[in-house]
Amino acid sequence: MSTLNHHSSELFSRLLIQNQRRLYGFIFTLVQDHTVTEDLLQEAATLLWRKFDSFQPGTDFGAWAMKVSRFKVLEWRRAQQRLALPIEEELLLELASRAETAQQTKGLGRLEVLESCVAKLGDRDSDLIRQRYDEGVSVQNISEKLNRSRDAVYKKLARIHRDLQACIEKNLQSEIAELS
Amino acid sequence: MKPEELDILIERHLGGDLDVAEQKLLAEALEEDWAIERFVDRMTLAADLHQRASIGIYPSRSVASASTRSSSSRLWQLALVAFSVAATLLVAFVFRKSSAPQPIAVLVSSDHASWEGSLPTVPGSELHQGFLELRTGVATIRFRSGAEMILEAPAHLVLESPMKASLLNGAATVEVPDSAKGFIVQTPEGEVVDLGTAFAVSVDPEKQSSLFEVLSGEIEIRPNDHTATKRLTETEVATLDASGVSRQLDLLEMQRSPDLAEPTVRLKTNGRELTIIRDAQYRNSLEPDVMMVKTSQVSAHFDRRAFFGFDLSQVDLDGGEGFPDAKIILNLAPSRHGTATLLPETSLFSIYGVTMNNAERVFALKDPQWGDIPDTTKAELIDSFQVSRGQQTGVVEIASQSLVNFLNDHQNEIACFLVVRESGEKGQQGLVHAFANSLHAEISGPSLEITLVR
Repeated sequence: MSTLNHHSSELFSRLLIQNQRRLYGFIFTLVQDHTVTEDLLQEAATLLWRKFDSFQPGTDFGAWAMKVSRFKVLEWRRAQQRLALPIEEELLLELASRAETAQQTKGLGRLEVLESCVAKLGDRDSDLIRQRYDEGVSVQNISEKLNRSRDAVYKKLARIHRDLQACIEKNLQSEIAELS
Repeated sequence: MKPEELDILIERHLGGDLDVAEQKLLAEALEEDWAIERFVDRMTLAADLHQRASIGIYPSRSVASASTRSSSSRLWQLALVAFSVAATLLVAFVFRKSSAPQPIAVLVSSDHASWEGSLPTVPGSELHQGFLELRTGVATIRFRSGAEMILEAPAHLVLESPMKASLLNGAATVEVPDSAKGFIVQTPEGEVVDLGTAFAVSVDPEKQSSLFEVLSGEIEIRPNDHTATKRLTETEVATLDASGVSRQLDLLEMQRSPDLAEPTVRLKTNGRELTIIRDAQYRNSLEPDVMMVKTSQVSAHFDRRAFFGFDLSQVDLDGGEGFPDAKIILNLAPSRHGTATLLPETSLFSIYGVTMNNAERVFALKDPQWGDIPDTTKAELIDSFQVSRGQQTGVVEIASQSLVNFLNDHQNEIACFLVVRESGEKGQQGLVHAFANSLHAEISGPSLEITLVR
């Protein structure tokens, strides 16, 4: 059993906080559902804490945490009677490896970049993002409020996301260029 | 598939708006390299946007509170502190504004309805994509699109999306307001599109035909083999089978094969359920919508047992000799207490039959004490079952000769049962198991199913 002490809990907390956003993004990419992601993140964190005495300080906590998270996702998938996205385990593992790369490489400074890109959105686009993400309004309700069809709302969301993605990539590249 | 098409599919998947066929389509699209890249980018962005919007707790505050804790002599106390520090942070990580997976429909009302499996029967329950089997009664389901379906048992229904359902067996009436115009009911021989506003459908899998009657408005019937589609208007009746659509002028009510299952009675606990905890000062750890079960050799204070009862006087044996067969159905529910990682790989439970003549009084107690329920040494062992470590939901069925004997010994009384966890845990923070009781919003409480005639 681990000799849990004061110092390890502080270290663990710090490492977990530093990696928590990346872990969330990683798990969400594999399950595409926020409630499931939160549950699995909590399960993974619990397991990481219990095994923390086997972690070598100085090594890559994020990589280890994603390995544990991936295991939790696989476990969860196998327990499901049916999957909302019916892909084979092999494809899921491929997704996991891409997701890990995305989090490790594009993770740097992503928050600030995202903020500046969202700030660049026009009023109507920014309002739609706010409703969808900040207020959690369903697409059905948004379509009723805007008096458009659900398909029209989805098209709009897809366009905004494409724009955000392009903006982020452009800014990340210049940021990486600055750092090197 | 074009990138823009994939984008839309992904958006709708995130919105929970794909039907079963479209989900397969998306899965297949991901076989392509470019599609995987796009999918991963899109999901990463969605996760970031979601987290950006959520509330977080400043980490430094929580870590500071950990460092001010005085050191304690006992190792387990320290472990508890460290664990609760991590646990506090974990709570901070679980963002409060979680968006639940979008339900497809809501159960509006049910008349003596019982479903196969552990589905909710409380009106207002949210129904998700999947397969439903209505065993008895009549149920009304409202889809997110506004379409409303009244379903009569026995029926097999697949909820595909807010605008589509498949009726594999059974009868239903569908009412479709403007918002759901175009609602589709799929039957084994073809699909029906409701152009507004109401129609009745009856599927007979044995005769391999379906019957449609338009109550108001218009429907379009599309046979599977893409032969001529037919439009039916108000008061028109037609059958659909392998040979196509045929209008019926004078048709008797469609004969439906009744449920040929043996007559069974399903009893519920009707509020006769409680959890007793060994140390009454921890009463606050009990949850109102579940019965909790735990045994800990580490700290017996938190031991809990589930106690519930069924009123057998409701059952009319009709001059019969006794109950030939019976089973108890319990549904596991997340207890939200403790961690499964401190449990052995499987936990062993026992269910006992308890004979007591003051059962009603005990169930009515506001504050039942450990001593109010007879101990297991004075009870009859009915059966044992196992639950594996990773499992917090699921159905447990208990059927044994001991159960039948116990029921027959208490024919006009309240049959009481005690559920105890025999196996322990590695630490006192071990998972508390829980079974839904009659108050649980989403999961059915205990039922007793009795077969009357063999």
